Amino acid sequence: MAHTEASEYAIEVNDVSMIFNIANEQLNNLKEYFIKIMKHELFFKEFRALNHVSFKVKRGEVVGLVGTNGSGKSTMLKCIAGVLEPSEGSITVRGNIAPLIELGAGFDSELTARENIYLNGALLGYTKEFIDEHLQEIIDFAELENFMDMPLKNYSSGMVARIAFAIATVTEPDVLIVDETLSVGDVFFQQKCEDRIKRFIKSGDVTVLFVSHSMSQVARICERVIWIEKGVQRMDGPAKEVCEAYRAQYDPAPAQAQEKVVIDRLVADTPDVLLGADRATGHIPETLPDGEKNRFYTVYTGMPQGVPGVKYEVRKGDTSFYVTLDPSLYQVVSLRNQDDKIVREVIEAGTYTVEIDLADHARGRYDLACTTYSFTVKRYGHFADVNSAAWYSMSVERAYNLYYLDDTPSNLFSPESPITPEDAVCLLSRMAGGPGEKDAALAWARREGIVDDAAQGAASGSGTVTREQYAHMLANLARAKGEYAEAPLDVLSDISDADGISDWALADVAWAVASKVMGNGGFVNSAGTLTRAEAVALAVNYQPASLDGHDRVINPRP
Amino acid sequence: MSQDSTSSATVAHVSGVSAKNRFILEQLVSKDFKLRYRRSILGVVWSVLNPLLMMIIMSFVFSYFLRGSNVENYPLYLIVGNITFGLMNEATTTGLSSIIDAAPLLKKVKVDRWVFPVQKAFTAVVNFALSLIAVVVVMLFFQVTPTWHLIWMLPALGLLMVFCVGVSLLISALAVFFRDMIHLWSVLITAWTYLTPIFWDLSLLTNAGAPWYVLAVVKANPMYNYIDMMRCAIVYQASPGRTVILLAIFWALLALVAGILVFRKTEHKFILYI
Repeated sequence: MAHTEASEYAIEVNDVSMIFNIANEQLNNLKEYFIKIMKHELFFKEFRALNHVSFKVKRGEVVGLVGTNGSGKSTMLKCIAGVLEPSEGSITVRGNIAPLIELGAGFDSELTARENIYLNGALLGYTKEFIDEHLQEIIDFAELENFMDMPLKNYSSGMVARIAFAIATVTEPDVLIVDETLSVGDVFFQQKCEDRIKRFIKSGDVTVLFVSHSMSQVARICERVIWIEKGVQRMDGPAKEVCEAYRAQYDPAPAQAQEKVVIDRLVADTPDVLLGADRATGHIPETLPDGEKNRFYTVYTGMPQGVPGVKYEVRKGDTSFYVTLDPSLYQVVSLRNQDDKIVREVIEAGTYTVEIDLADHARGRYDLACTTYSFTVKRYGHFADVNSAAWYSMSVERAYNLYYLDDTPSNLFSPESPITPEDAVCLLSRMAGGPGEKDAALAWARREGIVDDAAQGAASGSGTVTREQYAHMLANLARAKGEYAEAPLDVLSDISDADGISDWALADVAWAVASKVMGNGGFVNSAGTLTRAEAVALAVNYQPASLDGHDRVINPRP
Repeated sequence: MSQDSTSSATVAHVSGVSAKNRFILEQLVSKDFKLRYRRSILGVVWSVLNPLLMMIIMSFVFSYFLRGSNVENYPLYLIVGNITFGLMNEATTTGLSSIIDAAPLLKKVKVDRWVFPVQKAFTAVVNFALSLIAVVVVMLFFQVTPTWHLIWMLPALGLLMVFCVGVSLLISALAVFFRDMIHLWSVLITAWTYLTPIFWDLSLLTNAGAPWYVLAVVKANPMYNYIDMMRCAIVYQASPGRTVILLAIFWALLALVAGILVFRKTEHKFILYI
């Protein structure tokens, strides 16, 4: 047998190059071929799928092979399995190979499973006696006792894979080549396959070559990893080091990110709000229970969609979690960590790398064009203390963008603290296109009749503004602009706390309710102290677009 | 070799490449054979029936047409010619596309490529062997008693197989690079059918005073020689002529050498074209 040779290496790859000639046009036709030769027009473009790759694998070693798609991994595997012959260099494999590259390659769909076992066994180099003896064992492992005499064309792909795996691994091979496309069939069978492979690895006699796009899987299983990129051997070393280096190439440097999705509103304190995920199903609805659009739902719409059954591994630093797309929905349905738990931590601002991997059931049926993907999570909003999940965050951001608010030194807005009368006046002045400075704004307010005795009198004493006073100011502004329309007092019948409205403010609050500036929640809290957030929200409710058309986002002020 | 939990003393893997290839050949031939007759009611009987029916229909017309020749037992003459040419036809036509058809396998499994064209020749021989039953039926019907000359069948069959393997290797390799071969070959086979005295006899040519070069071409034709050897063994009960034997050997060796040379030179590039 082959491995009587006393060498400690099971696989030796010596300076291997694989060159494909890509003809400038496809010629399958004698006439064309001769015409081209006569005209000296036959050119080939040389493509080096592997470029001087060398490595040795010791007997019993478990080696991972990583690289992006099209990097030459499969070519390398095929060379080692003996399907392809390297253009330059040599490959020595000592012992028999069980190539789990493409299961069921030698099957004929017309033959029955039993006949296929013999045919495939012959191709794998088994003896007839051996197959005779182990036929039952193969059938048992594949759990297809009752289907043995059925033509393979009536089998599902999972059933075919079961038989193929059972044949290939019925005996302990010297060299086992495992490609990630292996994970087919149902969960239980996958487990069975994995157990068998693990047993081979544990035995210490089997040399394993493992190919996967999942870095965590490679790091878990392999001791050593070889990284091939664009046909060139980039790295060869301990699994941890190589995997880290491999990941690092896609990590931070946002300039190199393949594609960026700027996620606008993603600073949430509560994961339930962020994800809005159903605890039972992991499904993320488009709208949250409070009627707001689910931010996370929109966040991922920029991701490459349309690939069914994609598993995203989202990573930043040491933390990673998975996003699984429901193949039927083509939408993000959950964020899960490695333990398959739905992630509920806050997603912080920063650049994330997504490692995209096909979900198990989609393997072998789909291929991914790109496997890594970067996106940037940006803190939403100008003010650091405005939580994007808060009810007022939209209004505050809108007000800022419309120049109703100015920059503050520390970018703090203090949304929950009461607003001073001066600030309230400034806000209204800016909104109405008046001056922005405090004193000028006050002068403007008096001139325009925004602030009158009713409003100012109450305000001057306490340094705060009540909600009805603010409603009065807004009504005054509307009057000044000629937009005020008297509202019948019965609009207040829908307001639960209408009793608390001061008599002098009744008309103005009614106007505010009728024009949907306040009271949208069914109450007005008329005598309550106005907070800065409320002031801004009411202002934006009154005038959601800038008068002069300036908007920090769309049309900035010159 | 380390055995795992399996309680066997049997060695799992065959020792040596030739044993492996023999088992693969065996499996492929049996696969082709099983698939050919799967779901047909008469099954293998067709292998016997086919040449028999062909012979009946052809001799129905051609026996009158060949009155002037010196063919004695025309139906037997016809069936032997038919099945011998049929063997070559089947072996080369299936061999022609054997590499292309085996593409899914060759791309994924390590297996010697020559196995596929060679296997087609073996499958054709198995089929030929079954057709011989039809020949026996005809011999019984016409009460032809075989003599020791029947032994000539073996070298004839052996040489024809070598010839077929050689041709298959050559054309299967060419077909990988030029798919035109597939169309070209069917034209060639048809022309070859008429060039070879299958349903006609050489005496028709000589009687009609055909020029020497026509006779030379027909006689040099490899298939004439193999069919003649086969007829000597079964129909004429005589030893084939020295020239016929030598030409049969010559063509077999020539085809084999050419086939192996071209195949070995090109087989490394197959994977890029299939």
